[in-house]
Amino acid sequence: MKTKKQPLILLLSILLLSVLAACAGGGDAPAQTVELYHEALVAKDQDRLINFSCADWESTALLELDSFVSVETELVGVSCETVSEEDGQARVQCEGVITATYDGEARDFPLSNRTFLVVQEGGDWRLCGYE
Amino acid sequence: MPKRSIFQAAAFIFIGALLLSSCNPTATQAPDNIQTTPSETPDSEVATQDNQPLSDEDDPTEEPAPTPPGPTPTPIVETRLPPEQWQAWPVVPELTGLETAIYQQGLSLGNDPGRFSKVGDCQAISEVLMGIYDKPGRYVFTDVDAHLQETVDHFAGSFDRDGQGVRGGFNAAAVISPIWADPEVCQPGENPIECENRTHNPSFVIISLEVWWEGRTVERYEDYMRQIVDYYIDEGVVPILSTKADNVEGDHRINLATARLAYEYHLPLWNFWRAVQSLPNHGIDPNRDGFHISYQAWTVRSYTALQALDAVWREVRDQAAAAEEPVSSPGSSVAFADLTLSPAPDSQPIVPENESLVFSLEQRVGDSSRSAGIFGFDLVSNTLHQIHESGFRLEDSDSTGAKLLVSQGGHLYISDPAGDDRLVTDQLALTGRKSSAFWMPDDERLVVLTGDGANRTLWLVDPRADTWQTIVEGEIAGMIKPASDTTFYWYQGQCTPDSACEDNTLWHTQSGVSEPFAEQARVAFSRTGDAYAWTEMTEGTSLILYTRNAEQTLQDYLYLPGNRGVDLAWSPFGNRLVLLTVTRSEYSGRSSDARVFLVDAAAMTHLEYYAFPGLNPAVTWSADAGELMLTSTLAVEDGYQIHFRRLNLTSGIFTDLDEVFEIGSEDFVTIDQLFWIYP
Repeated sequence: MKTKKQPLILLLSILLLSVLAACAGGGDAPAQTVELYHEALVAKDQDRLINFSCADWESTALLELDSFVSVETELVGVSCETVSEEDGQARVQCEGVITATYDGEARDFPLSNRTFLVVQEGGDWRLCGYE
Repeated sequence: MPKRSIFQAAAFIFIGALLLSSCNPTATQAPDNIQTTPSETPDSEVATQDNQPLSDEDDPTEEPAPTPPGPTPTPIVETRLPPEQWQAWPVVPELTGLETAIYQQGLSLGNDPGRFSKVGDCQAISEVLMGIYDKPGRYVFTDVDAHLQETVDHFAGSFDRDGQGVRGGFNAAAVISPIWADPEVCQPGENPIECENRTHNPSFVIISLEVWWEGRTVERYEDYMRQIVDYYIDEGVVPILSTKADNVEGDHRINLATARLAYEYHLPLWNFWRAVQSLPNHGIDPNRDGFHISYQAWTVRSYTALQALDAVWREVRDQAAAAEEPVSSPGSSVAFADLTLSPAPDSQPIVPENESLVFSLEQRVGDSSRSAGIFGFDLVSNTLHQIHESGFRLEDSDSTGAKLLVSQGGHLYISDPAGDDRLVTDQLALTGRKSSAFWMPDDERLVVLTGDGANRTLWLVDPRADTWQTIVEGEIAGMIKPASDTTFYWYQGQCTPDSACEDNTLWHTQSGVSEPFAEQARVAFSRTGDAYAWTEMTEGTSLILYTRNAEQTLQDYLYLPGNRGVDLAWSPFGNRLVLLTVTRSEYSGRSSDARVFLVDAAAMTHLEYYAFPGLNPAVTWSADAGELMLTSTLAVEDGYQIHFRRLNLTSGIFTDLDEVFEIGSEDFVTIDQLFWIYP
């Protein structure tokens, strides 16, 4: 019995993953990129940060990461949404803040006061600046 | 991304080139819009080297294109220990000379010489770094360091402020990250140091970073520091780097990197690390993280930072003064007496809405002379204002008095009445004439004479666009304030090294063509440029006043008493002339009182007003042509005093201004230039 169920489970798993993948592909991928970028930023994870940055933005991304290295950081209430998308370029706006704490003093960096530019590069959405 | 300054590359080879490229605003800022040759401006009305009378050997086609004058390159040799021995570097910076070039560049960009900024983290906040020096009574200087008070006074207001460049948690990356700029103060896209520079406009910056962080390389720190240093050098702000007290990284690699940068860029390094080595725990707070300094080290930090600032500021100030003070008598070291001024001048700007006199003074002792400063006297409030200290002289004023051209040796500045300066050139020609630079009639552009000897250039300069356009080159001994865009009058002549010039031929350049114009050594043009006048002595006790139209088709003359014409000025409307004459005794050499003649230029008739006594008599018209300001120097019991008289041409009444202000000196003192500002 056990051996007979395995192909079925495998098939169902493939179907489930396909559905999930399809859902993800049709979701707000640019917005998700911005959220993941900031998660990597506050985690000070250079590799992930670069992974979510377009080539032109990499050095700035590293600069931003290094600028937060001396402080403790966390994301608070971050939620992003794509406000426009055309020809592989998207604009994303976010709510929430980066809270940076140094020596007990906290400072918030609101994400809502900028519009993030996200581009498709190599088939993936990557943050490429803000305005 | 890191911006590689031209300074950096040049420093490896020859700092002279570095200076030239970085400190000449025309070289670094607008090299493409400098028009240096006629061929570049074929339609120009003024650009020419043709038909100029000057040296026969000169072939314009073979000469390299003239370049706008900028600071002279000076080689810099590092005398400091190598950066690997930074721990032996003194606490107070050793200076290289580059600081002065950066500082001067900054002044030309409008930086405030009385301000400095700080860039740093929590160890640069005002409580830890020099804030006490803005709090009189909170600090005491001993006799040994009493001189620091002058520095405290000079930079008052910069000590007890953090500005936009200081914040707890800042590091070298943060200060150049726009995300860290305060949106309440900073403009979109500005990073903290750009924001601080815009809002505080300093001439110096103390950069005191860096907390170490795990996992980051020192190369990254160095990369960011280069961007910071490059930025400040480009902005003409003198960076003062510093070492840190801690060694969290374990091998002092950050301090070494900082020392390497200081050495490579030839920048001052305040060695704070060394300053705290004698303190308990080497100045580090034992109860904290190994990074924060102890309270005891705060005092050392503030004090040694002030010493560093003091050393750099004095160096740039003294070097600039030494380079700019005109030497009237080589080899002499004359001590000039102080001016006696009443009312006591303040450093407040003159009120632009009020009628004022703006003038520069000259003192003389034997063969030596000095510019004794520029002053403004408010004729409404009867207040005296010092616009510039000794060493500065007036070249010209625009028609409103809002923009002065002032010089300090070979440096020419555009200055407002508050004394804020912008450097135009440091190669202003020194001639025997009163001015080597004038405003054009539009009050926006300038004519500037630069160079020396036979290598002088008359330029048309637009300081807004930083464009320099050659009018003529060669043996130019002076020029006349232009009345139009189309014609420039200048004197051909040889000048000896002491700047005494023989200039007897007046030339004009029109539409690119230069021709001899007249053989008079001293002429006065009407403000419209359509007529000019001059005087000639006769055998007897009279002289002849000539007037001629600019086309040289009509001439008139008038005999007047006196054997010397000492000043001649056209009225603002060009229909009248005032001529001052004296009769000088060939026996005693003494001159009579100055006689005042008002001449109707059309009818060549004249009125005479009361003569007035004194040496160096001079006259200036009021803007409405209704009054004259007559000045001279009177010998008084304890020296000399300048006499101002206001003459109403309608009533003929003199009003002495002695009762409202006095200027005197034990040394001979005289009015060098005077402008009557009439809003």
